[in-house]
Amino acid sequence: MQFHEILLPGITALPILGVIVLLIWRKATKKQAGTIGVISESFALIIPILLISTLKQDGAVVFSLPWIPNMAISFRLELNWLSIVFLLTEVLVTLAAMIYSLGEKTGEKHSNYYYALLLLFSLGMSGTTLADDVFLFYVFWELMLIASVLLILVWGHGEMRFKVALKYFIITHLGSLMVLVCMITLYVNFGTARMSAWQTEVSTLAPNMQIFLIAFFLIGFSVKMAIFPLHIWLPDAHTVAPMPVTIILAAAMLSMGTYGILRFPFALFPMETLQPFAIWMMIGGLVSEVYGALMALAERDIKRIIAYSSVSQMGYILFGLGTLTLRGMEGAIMHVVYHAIVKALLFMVVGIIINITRERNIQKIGGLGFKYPAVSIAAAIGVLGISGMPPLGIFNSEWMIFAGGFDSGVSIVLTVLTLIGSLLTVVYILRFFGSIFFGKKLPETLPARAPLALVVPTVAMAIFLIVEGLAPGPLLNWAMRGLTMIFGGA
Amino acid sequence: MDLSFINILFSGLFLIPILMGILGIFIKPEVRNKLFTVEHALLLLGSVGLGLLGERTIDTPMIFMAAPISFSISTTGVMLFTGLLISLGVLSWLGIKNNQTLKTYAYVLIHLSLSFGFLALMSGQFMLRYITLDLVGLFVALSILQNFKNTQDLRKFITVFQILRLGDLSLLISILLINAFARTLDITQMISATAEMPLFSRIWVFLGFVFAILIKLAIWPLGIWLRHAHETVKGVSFWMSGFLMPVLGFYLLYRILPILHGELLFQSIVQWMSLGLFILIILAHWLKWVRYDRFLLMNGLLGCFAFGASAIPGVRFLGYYLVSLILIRLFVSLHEAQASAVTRHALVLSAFLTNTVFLLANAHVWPLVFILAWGVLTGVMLFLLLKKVIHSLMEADDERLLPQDRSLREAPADDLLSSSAQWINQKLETDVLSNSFSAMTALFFGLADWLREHVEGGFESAWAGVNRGIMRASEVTLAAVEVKPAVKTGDFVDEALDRLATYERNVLKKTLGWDLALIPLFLLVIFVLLFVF
Repeated sequence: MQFHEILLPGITALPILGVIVLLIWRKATKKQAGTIGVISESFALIIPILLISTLKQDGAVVFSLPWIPNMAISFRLELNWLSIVFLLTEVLVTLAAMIYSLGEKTGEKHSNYYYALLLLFSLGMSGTTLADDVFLFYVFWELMLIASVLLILVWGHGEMRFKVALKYFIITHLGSLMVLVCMITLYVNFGTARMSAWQTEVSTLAPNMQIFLIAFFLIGFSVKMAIFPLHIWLPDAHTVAPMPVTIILAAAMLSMGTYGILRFPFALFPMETLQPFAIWMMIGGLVSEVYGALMALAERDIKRIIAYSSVSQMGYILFGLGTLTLRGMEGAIMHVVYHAIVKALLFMVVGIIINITRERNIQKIGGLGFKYPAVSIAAAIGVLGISGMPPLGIFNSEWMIFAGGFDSGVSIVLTVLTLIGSLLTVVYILRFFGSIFFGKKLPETLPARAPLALVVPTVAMAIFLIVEGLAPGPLLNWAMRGLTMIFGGA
Repeated sequence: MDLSFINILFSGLFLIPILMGILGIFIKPEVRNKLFTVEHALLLLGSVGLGLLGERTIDTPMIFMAAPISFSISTTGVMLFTGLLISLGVLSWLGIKNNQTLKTYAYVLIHLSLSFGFLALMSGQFMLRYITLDLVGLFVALSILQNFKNTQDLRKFITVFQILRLGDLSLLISILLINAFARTLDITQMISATAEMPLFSRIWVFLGFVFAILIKLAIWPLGIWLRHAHETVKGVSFWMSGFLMPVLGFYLLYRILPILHGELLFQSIVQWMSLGLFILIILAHWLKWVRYDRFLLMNGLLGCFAFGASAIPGVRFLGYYLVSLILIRLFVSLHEAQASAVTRHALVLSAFLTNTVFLLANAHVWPLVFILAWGVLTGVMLFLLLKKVIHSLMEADDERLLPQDRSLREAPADDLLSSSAQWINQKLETDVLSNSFSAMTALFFGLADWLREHVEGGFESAWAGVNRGIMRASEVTLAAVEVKPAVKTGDFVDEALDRLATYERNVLKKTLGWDLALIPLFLLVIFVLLFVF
């Protein structure tokens, strides 16, 4: 076994080690537990970066161990160009959220369990992106859900968290069950759990079966993406969850649905079979985009405004995927990354505002601009970013998605409406920014400064957004390679 | 990109304003003014030099989204940039003369706008042009924010930004549609390729460009953003809204001439649209019910002239005409700043000369109908400029009619024309156009609230209803299957024991105790006997 093949399982093993240490060290303070969490997660970030050179040479890095040989199930991990984009996104966001969490109050009690669950949450997402065995994929997929439910249940805010956690669990699990049905069907038909082995076999299935599987996959993963009308778990879950968990939910976990769509229906089935679904995905994306934006406009709770914004942004991604064109799908993948960065940034800003003002109603907050300039500037960058202002990242992904829409040959009107609908993003996000940072005089009781431990990761995220926007080349390159891997250069 | 003289000159024209803008943050206003004068002179020299070097393309090694970035230096672009510099110079000189201090914030914005405006005029790649136009739009909107504590300014900023963004989005539609067909972002190649596109796609392209241009030129009814800017932004800061943005719109119009001239339908639409808008603008400004001020009136009328002229194939000297429109704007601004007979005459004369010379230069290519229309409309414009009532408006307190000054407009009109104008002003201008954006925003808010209550709230109610249903079913099932049988069984056992106790008391007259143990013993005996036999 070569060195890089040993390194790959470290992405999952080191966080597990971190979890074990935290479970043993029950008396760890929040700072100590947080440090262990950050160190474990940092390894999960460094290892894929170290493996990039191997990826460039070999195209993929694989690690495989037999697990349940009688059922042809193995512990098989594969790092490829597609998975590395999603892996780095979620690990980066989780790392940022963990650093952010050190500055805020959640997890003061039972800190070891809190950070252990955060590590498990991240592990679930990492494993999902790396798994090349469907059984393993599903285990990590559910680990993601269970860890996040526990985090909401134990450390969430308010009495409603019990009901919200239950709703989140049930709805997301229903989506997972749809995906499971498809996986079992394919496993039974092909006799192996290796996802990469299915690609050559799937054309042997009856056409009706293929249609059924694609539909179920799309619906199941759309639940995770929070596409309208399957989004109903999202606003409440984001609202009651502690802020670091909200950041991970919005910025990282939602992207797992996108990964699932690319990894399963798009990778397995031929383009001709996917074609009938294109227009429905585009319509679903448009509706989600507009609906999420309108809900963000209607909301008064600043956390829910940004939460609904996620529904809208996921609409862009689904639209891009639905174009079934190279540009559209590249744009969708890039949008996943840019959305993750900007959403993490905006939620960090929201967290700071709540920390300072103890208020979430947008009508009761105002005039914070001059008093907290660093936060205002970071928020302004996030606002401009999500509005699609060049040269910030989302502009790059949006225009590729729209270009894909025009390339697709589906009605021009649909793409025009999606493009014009992006103006709604400007409407709600400017309202959000203007209400909070402009206007009326501040009360005297506000702290002189925003907590530095919260401001630093926020500003770092803003800088990262600018850098990523100015240098989209590497990301575009990886997205292209990932799609070539799926579609074989077609 | 090699280090040739032209490349250095080009880079300097872009970078100097940015650097001076950054430097301006750290130096005192008095020093800034002097430096600005020197900078301005350098830029003017540079611009003239660039123009003298002739038209050329500058290729760069830079790539944006897999498309190479190039710059296209055209005579018209350079002339327009020079005109902008002249107007900026005059306005800043006026500001210095009137002891107006330019805020640091505005100073930085002007310089950034100048840099990116230059790039927008020189860009050879459509996506780069789009980016620079978007950025200039942002700077124009930011110039409205004079006071960060004033929510009125904030609302105007949001309105202006949204309108300009809408224009940019419609431009993006056109760009992407052409790009989907032509697979290039080079402007010249893209414009040429539109001739091969299917008519349906070309119509969308045309509509996207027209909408974007109308917004940038602030031609009524899409000029609300310029009205907000003119009401709020004073002095040299107004240069961004009143000069730079419309000029970028002019140049965009100039670049898409081949698209307009390639289809008779498009020419007809543009010509009739220009005529219709011209007439409507005049009606809207008639008499004392004018809502717009003189700058906006002239802006609208001149925009219609430019728009209409561009639609005639073979039009000549259009670039020079567009440059002269900058100078007319300058005269209007001068007249606004220091109204006098000299400035008024200069304004009227420049408008007359510009239009007349342009007409004479194109008389041999224009249809007779168009020549007549041009002449008549020029005469109408001059008549408005010269007419005493308009003078009284122009030379009055310089109070611009604000939305709350409705009492003037509500006074009854005497004649049919005035009452018609009053009706149009009230119904269209005020109720529809001026309030339209607020109404549209309120509509979106209303729609959002309705959706929140009925759809999102419907989901919540449905979820809660389903939950309640499941809970109720669970409770009923629990009661029917678990609790009641358990209770009944318990009752049954209790009853049986009670009866046994009663039997003990009443029949046996003694307590059953060990006697009960005989029962299983008897059963065992019976079982053994059965087994044996």
